[in-house]
Amino acid sequence: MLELSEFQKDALGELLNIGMGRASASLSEMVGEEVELSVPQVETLSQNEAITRISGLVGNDITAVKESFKGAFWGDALLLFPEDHSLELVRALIKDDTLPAEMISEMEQEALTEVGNIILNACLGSLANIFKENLEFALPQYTHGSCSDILTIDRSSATPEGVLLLQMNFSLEKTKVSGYLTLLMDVASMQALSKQLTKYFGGAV
Amino acid sequence: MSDDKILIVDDSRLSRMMIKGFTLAAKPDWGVIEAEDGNDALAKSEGQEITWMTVDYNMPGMDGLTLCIELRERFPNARIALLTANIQDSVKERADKIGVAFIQKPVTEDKIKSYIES
Repeated sequence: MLELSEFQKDALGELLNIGMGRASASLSEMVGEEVELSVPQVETLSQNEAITRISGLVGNDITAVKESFKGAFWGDALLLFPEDHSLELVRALIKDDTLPAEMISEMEQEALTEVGNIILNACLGSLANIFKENLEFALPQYTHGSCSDILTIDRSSATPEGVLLLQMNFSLEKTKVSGYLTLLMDVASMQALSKQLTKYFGGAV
Repeated sequence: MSDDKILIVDDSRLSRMMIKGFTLAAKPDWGVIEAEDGNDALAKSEGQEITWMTVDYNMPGMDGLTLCIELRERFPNARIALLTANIQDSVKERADKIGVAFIQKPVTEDKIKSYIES
């Protein structure tokens, strides 16, 4: 399995921190409350280990917004919501108490999809900006199901050696919403990303 | 009744609803046309007089910048803004090159107000 050096992992964690900082500012702007962020985790794991690790954190039945990205490096970005507090989130977003309950419930999926889209774009977009690269994003997809189904990388170039798992969680106290941002990349993408790190940090990495 | 009309193009109904709500809060007499993608926008704007537009970037079918180029040809004097979650410098630069304003999502009342009152 390709291993990143401790320094590379540290550098990636810091970049993810910057990306999530940007994303949490957007989320905070949407819901009007402070967003708490965890320390970023950067690991190289086998795909199965990654699934076990994540389902250990969020449970096996999850709601997720998934967005694939490609460009200088590629993979799947996921925003995982372990608990179903999406109605509170929709209310916080729309800020309109007069909307009928059935309309709010009808908007749940697309509200989560749009929130996912804004967070994932803010995070990955700032990484692209830091590296002065361009990433293309597929349309966000809302999914609900088992952790293993949602996390499986289903691309033909996927290699069995391992995945890079970048993860960070956020929580909103008032709205009671928490979620995990997860980036999954295969080995070839990990190598491409490691080249970007070397280019950006020069000899330091 | 004002002659101003805004075209709101976004595949997210929630975003359209928020942009429309904030626009009408500031300009209650404006006309609003909503479209969910590029083709829908081109069809619904045909033959219309449109003065303002907000266009999302990532949508099914053509992307927002491609749509902006087509809309600019059809409405040379309209004020067009790309309103997107895609904050990449490369996207901002492309918007700038074709004379389209860039507004970063999330949609907020302040952002919409300052755009339509600019």
